[in-house]
Amino acid sequence: MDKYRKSAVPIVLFLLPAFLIYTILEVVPIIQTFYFSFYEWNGIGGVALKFVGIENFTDLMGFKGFWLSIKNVIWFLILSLFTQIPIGFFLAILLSTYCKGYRIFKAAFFSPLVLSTTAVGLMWYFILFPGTGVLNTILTSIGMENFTTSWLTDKNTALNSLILITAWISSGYYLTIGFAAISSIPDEIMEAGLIDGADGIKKVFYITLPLIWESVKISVILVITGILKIFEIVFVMTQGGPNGLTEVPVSLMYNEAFKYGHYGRGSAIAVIVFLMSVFITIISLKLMQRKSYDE
Amino acid sequence: MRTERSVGAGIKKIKAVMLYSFLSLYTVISLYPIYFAIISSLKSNTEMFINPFALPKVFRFENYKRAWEIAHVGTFFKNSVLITLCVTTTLIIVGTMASYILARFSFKLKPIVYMYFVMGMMIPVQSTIIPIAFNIGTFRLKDSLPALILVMTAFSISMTVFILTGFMKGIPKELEESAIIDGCNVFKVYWKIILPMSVPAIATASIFNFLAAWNDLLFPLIFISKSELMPISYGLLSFFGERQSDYGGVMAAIVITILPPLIAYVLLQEKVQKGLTAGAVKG
Repeated sequence: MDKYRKSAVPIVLFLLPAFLIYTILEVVPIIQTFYFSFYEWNGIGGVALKFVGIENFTDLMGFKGFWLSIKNVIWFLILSLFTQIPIGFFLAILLSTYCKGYRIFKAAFFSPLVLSTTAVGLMWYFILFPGTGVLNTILTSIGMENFTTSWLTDKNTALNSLILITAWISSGYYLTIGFAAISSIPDEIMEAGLIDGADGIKKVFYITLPLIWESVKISVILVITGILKIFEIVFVMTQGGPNGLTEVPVSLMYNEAFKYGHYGRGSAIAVIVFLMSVFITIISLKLMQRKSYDE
Repeated sequence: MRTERSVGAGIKKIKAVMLYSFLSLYTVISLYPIYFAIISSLKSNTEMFINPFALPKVFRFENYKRAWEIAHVGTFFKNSVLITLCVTTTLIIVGTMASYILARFSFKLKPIVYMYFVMGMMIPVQSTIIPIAFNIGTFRLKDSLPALILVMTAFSISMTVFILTGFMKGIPKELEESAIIDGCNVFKVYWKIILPMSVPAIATASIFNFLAAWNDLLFPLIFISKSELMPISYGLLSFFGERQSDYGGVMAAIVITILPPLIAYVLLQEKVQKGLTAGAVKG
């Protein structure tokens, strides 16, 4: 048996296809990103690369559009944390504690996640259509005409619209995570809580939430890493406009590289996005590991 | 006493009504955009915004015909079927092979190799597209479907290996070992025992990979320029860009785009939820 489990030929042979595809097409490009961020060039393929040192990064520090995209993504992140997770976990608690027919609701709330962002973006584009769009029609019909606007081009509503649509897509994800965590709480604990007089809101705050706190933390990390790389919804719905007010780092990277031919600057942004998400993931994994050592 | 009890029951009833009204309201919010896309796909431009909740007066199926034929949504759809099928199948093959080794064999570098594979889950796809676009130019791979398929495969390997290895570690060893004693070689054990026993995990991973491939926009955006090779997400976007004023046609294209994932979801709800959240829960 030992001989079988240590035989070198199958080990190499079976690992090789996955290893090669993954290494050549995913790992190598991420290394290239770092390399390219020290160069400037103006076309894709067949053009000379010019070494510029850290100029791409120092340029970025003085580039207003970059800071605007950072500001936007931080706002995106904060609002997402305060929408996606509370909505998701609130629904999870409602469904798991009080609701017998939870399956059908859970299925409905999760459904936006299976749809392509392009399709979702276009559906909402028509719902938020300026003038006679669905939302404006509803607002007018209930006498709130003053609130109608062209949601995606109005500088006060564009970014927030994208944030709410992202929350509409993603809350079901955190509902599912929260629901799984609550289901894994042993019944005895819940019953013991009931005997001790914990009921309703009290039960949620003193029993349920502390017991599923790990899953809340995981969700926070997932929201952060997810929002840092947010791109498609912006690309489909506003392309960064109006006036860069919905530009986020990845859409800026895309536009800088593929629209304006600033590939070096785009690569520098890519490096920053990469480092931020890896940094946050590693820190959070460390924090969680330490927690489990303590216990 | 009696009144107290009936007051209590009354409050309970009110609470239940509030709970279900709230949940129903949120259900409407969750599903309305899909409903809106479906009814609008059968309406004319002028009818679309008049009453955004009403069914169409006349069902204009010609919107679908126009989208499918004139706007090439049929071609986009076929391209997506091909791409998704190839990506998912390739991932099953290379993923199960690598995972079998990582779950059941022992060699010195194994923990490192496993770490190397799963660390890919941390890599944001977005920060690799400039070099990938550069490589496409250098190796003349623009509009190459095989190259697009392999790149999409590469970016799902980490998740696939993560799901499959975790599952395969839990398969009881007895069956495998009795086959080995009977003289089966590694290919036979893999084919006759490991693969059939891993079906649940393969299904979970494949659902994830199917949705990722079907819905992907970023890679097609940098790989494909010819409209006859576009997969559906990209095709939908370019259709919208070209014919913004054909609302009914665009809506029909949206419905066609979301149909396969929706059907899969209706049939396999729990499995889809599990597949999409697989990366979030520690295996």
